[in-house]
Amino acid sequence: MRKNKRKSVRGPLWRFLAVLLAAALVAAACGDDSSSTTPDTTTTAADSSDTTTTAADSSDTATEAPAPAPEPATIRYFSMWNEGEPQQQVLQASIDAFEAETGHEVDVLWGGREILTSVRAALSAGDAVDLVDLDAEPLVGALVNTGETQSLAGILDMTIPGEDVTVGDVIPSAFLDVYAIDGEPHLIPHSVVSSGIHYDGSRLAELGIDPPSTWDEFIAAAVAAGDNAVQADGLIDFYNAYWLYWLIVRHGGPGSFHAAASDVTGESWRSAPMRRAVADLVKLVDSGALAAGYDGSSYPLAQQQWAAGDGTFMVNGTWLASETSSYASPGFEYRLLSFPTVDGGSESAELYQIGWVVPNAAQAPDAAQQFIAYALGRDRLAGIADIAKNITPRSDIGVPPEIQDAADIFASEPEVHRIYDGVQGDFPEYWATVFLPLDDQLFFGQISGDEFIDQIASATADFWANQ
Amino acid sequence: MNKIVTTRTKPVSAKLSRHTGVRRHAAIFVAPALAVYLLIVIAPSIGTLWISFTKWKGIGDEAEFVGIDNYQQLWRNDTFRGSFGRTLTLLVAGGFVVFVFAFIFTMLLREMRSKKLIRAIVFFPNVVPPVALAIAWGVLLAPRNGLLNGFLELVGLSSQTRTWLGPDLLFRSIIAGLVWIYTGFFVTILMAGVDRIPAYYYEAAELEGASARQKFTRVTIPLTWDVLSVAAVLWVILAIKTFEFIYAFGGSGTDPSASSWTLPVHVYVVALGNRSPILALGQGSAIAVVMVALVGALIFLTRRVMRRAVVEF
Amino acid sequence: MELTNDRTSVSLSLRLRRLLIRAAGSIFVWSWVVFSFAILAWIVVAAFKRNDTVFVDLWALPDSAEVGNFGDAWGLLNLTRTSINSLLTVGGGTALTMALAAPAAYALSRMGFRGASGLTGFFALGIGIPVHSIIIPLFLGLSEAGLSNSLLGLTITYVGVSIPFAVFLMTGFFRSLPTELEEAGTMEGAGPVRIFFSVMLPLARPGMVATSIIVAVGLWNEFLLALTLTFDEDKRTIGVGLLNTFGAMRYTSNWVGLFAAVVIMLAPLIVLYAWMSRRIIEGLTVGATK
Repeated sequence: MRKNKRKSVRGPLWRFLAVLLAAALVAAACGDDSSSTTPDTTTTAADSSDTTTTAADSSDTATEAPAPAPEPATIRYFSMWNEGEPQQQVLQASIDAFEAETGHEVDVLWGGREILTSVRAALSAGDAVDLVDLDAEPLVGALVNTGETQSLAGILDMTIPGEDVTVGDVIPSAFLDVYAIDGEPHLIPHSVVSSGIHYDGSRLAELGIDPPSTWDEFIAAAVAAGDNAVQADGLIDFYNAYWLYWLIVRHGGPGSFHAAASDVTGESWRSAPMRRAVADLVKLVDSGALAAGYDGSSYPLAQQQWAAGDGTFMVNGTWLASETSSYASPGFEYRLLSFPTVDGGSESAELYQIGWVVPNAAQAPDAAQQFIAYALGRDRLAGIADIAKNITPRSDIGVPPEIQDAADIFASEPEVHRIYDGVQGDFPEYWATVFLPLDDQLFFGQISGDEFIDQIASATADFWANQ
Repeated sequence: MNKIVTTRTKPVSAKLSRHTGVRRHAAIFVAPALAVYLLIVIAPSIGTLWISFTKWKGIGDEAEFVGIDNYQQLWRNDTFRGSFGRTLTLLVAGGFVVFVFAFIFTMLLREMRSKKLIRAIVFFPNVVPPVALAIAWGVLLAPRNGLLNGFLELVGLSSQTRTWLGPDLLFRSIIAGLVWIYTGFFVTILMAGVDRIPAYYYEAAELEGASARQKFTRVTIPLTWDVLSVAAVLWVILAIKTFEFIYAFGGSGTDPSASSWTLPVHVYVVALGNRSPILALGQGSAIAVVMVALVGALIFLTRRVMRRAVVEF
Repeated sequence: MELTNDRTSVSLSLRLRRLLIRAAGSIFVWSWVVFSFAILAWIVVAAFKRNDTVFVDLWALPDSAEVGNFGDAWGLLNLTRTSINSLLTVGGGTALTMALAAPAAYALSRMGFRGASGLTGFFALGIGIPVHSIIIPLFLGLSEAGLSNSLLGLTITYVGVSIPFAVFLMTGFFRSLPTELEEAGTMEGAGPVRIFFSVMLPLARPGMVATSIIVAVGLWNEFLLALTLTFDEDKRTIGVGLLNTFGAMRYTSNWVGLFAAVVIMLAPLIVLYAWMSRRIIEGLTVGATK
C-alpha cells in the first residue's frame, strides 16, 4: 500500500519523509485516541454466572451498613489471569458486583502470567497500581520481599459485606503467617494450592491396587500398575523437581531443602536425610515404572495421555484436575494421594497460595482493601471452588469432588511448608541454574545418586562463592 | 561496541566522481536513520553496558556499582559456559547445515518450474509465530504418538525411533528445528542473488560443457558473492540472537531448563523471566554485552574474510 | 529462458548422471516441501479438532470440523482491537523504517564518503543487539519522554529496532545495482537527491519490497516489546494477544483454540506473502536487467 505512494513521489527528500512521517504519526496518534475512548473489551462466556452472582450479592447487601466511601475511587487492578480463564470469570463477577454496590470503579488488566512485567512497567512510570493478583512465590520475590507492598493487617478486622464475620475470622492465620513481615500479612490469598500424586480412583480399583501411603508402597504400586505407570512431562524441569523436593522434605523435614540450598559450603547436601531422599528417587527411576520416553515428553502430552487412561500416577499441583478434566476418559475419578511418607519422616503439607497484594504506590489503597474483603465473601469466593476448581482459604466453602482429597489435606490443619520449600521463591537463580539441571540429570537416570550428591554439593558451594 | 567503528574507517573506493557536497548530502541521507537508531538502540545499549557494572534488581532497587564483578563471575559460571557453548554449536554446526541446504535448494530450484511455489512454502516457517512452530515441533518429536516416531514405525524403521526431546538429543532437535526454519530464509536470500545472474552466463557455461558443479563454482558463487556475504553476516546474527523458538520449545510457555539455554535465553531468564524472577539485571546485562561483542567480532571477521571486489554485470 | 536443446556433444553417461542428480535433487526438494507443508497443515487441521483427541490421535483427521474454536480464539485474541493496534504500529513502523533506511542505505553504499564502511558496520551491529537486553533502559527512556504505554512510543521503538536490519539489507541491494545510470544522471547534472529518487529508488524497489516484508513480518510476530512498553488492555497488539491466548489456552487446556488463534494470526500473512512473493521475483528480474 505504501508502494503506490513511493512510486508517485518524485519530489525532494524532505517531502517524501514528511508525508510518511506525518502519516505514521497521525496513524499512531489516532490509535491512542480511539483506544482511550473505547474502554469496552470483548467479554467472554462468564456473563450468565455474573448476573446470578450479582443478583444474590446485591440482595444480601441491601441490609448492610452504609458504605463509608465518601467519594468513589478507581482501583487499578493487575491480575495474573487471562480473559476466558475460570478464575478471571469469577473475579470479574466480583468486580462487577463491587462496582455496582460501592460506586468504586475497578480498572482491571487481565495480563496473564507475565503480569509482573506490566506491574513493573506501571510502577516505574509512576502509574497507580492498587492491587496485584498472582501466585505467591513470584509475587513475594518480586514485590513483597523488596519492601514495595503495604501491610494488610487492617483487612483482617474488616467485616465481609453481606456476612457477620471478619476477614480474620475466615482466613486461617497459618496461611497468612507464611509470607508475613514483622507479623503482619502482606498477601491475602483467594486460592490455595498444593501438590501430590494424582490417580484415577476407578482405574486403581480395577487394577486391584490399594492407594499407597508410604514411599515403598508407592513404588510397589507403580511397578504393579503395568506399562507407563508413572507419567511425566520431562521437559518441564520444575515438575520433575516435585519428586526430589518432596522426598527431601519428607526425610529432612520442612526447611531442610531451603537450608541445604542456602548452605554456602554445600555440605548439607551430604547429610544422611539428603542421601536417603536421593536414594528413594533413584529407586523410582530404576523401577522402570516411569512412562517410556518420560525424559523427552513435551508438555502437555504426558498429562493428556494420563487423563486419557494411558498411565496411572502423575505428580503435579492440585490444578491438574481442572487442566485435564475436559479430556479425561469416561468414568475418570480424580483422586489425590498426599505425597507418600517415609519412616520417621515429616508429614507436613505443601501450601501454595494465590492472592492479592497492595503496593506502596497504590493511589486508592483503602478501596483496594475494601475490594479484597468484598471478594472474600462466601458466595463470591465459592466460584473459585465451583468454577475454577481450586481450594479456597475459607474452610466453610465446599469443593467439588475432583479436588476433595486436596481439600482434605488442609482439613486436619497439618504443619505446612512452602512449595519447593521456598527455594524457588527465595533463591531463584540457584533454583534455575544449580538445582534444576542436576535434578533433571538424576531424574533422567543420567547420573547416579552419589554423583548427584557430589556434584550438587560442590555446585552449591561454587554458586555461593560466586555471589 | 564502538570499537568496530573506530577501527574500520577505511574509505570505500568511490565510483561516483566525487564532487563537493557528497558529504553534505550523505549526512542528510543518513542522519534521520542514525538519529533514531542512536536513540532507540544505542543509547539503551549504553544503559545496558552501565547496568552490567552494577548489582541491580530493577526498578525500585538501588543499583550498586560493582565494577567488572559480573564479568569475572561469568567466567566461573558453568551455566554461562553451557549457554555460550550451545550458542557456538548452533552458530557453527547449524550454520554449516543451513548453508549446504540453502545452496542445494538454490541450485536445484533455478532449473525447476514450480520454484516460486516451492520457495514460498520453504520460506513460510519464517512468518509463522515461533510459539506455534515450537508446539508443532514438540508434537512432531514427541516420544510416543509423535509424528516422527510414528512415521518411522509406519515405514518399518522402528529401530530408528528415539526419545528426540530427551536430554541427549534435545539441543540437537532444537538445532534441527531452527535449520528447518532458517533454510527457507537463506534460500530466499541466495535466490534473490542467483535470479539476478543473467541466464546467458549459464547458457554460455553449458555451451562450454560445464558440469553442474562447475556452473556452481564458476558462475553462481562469484556472481552472488555480495549476497553471500550478506547472508553469512545474517546467519551470525540470527544464530546468536534467536530466542523465541528455543524459549517456547524448551519450556512450553515457561522458562526452559538451563540445559537448553543459549545466550539470549540466558539473558532473558536471569533478567526478565517471570515465573520465578531472578532479576539479576547486572548479570543479564553482562551476558548481553558479551553477546553483542561476540556478534560484533564475528561480523567484523566475516566481512573481512568475504571482502572482495564487487562483480558488476 | 531455460535452454532446452543441448547442442553440445555430451557423452551419454554424463547425461545419465546429470539426470540422476536432478532426480535426487527433485526428491530432496519435494520431500522438504511436503514436510514443511505437512507441519503447517497439521497446525491448520488441529485448529478444527477437539481437545480430547488432538494430542491422542495425532495423525487422525477430525471427524467433525469444530468451527467454534475460531469463535473462541477470536474473542480471546480480542481481535478487533489488537489487529487495529498491530496494523497501526506494524504498518506505521515499517513505512517509517523504510523511509529512513532506504536513503541511509543508499548513501552508505554508493556515495563513497569517508567512514561509510565503518558506519555500515555500526548499523549492522545493531542487528546483533537483542531487544530484551536493551528493554529496561529503553523503557526508562520512553517513560522519561512520556512515551511509555503509548502506541506512538511503540511505533518509534519498532522503527529504531528495525532500522539496523533494513539498512543492512538495503545496502546489499543498492550495492549490487549497476552504476551506469547513476553516472549518466550525474553527467546530466542531477544532484544526489534527484538521482536517488528518480533513478535508484525505482531500481531498488524489489529490494525495498523484500525488506519491508521481512521487517513487517518480524514486527507482526513481535511481542516482547509490545508487552513491556505498553500495558493497557486496549493497547495490546496481536502478538501480545497471542501470548495471552497462549496463556489462557494453556491453563484451560484449550489447545485447539490456540491453534485456531495461530491460524487467524497466520491468515493475513499467508495472503500477504502469496501476493508479495510474486512481486519480489518480478521486481528483481526487471530491476536487474538493464
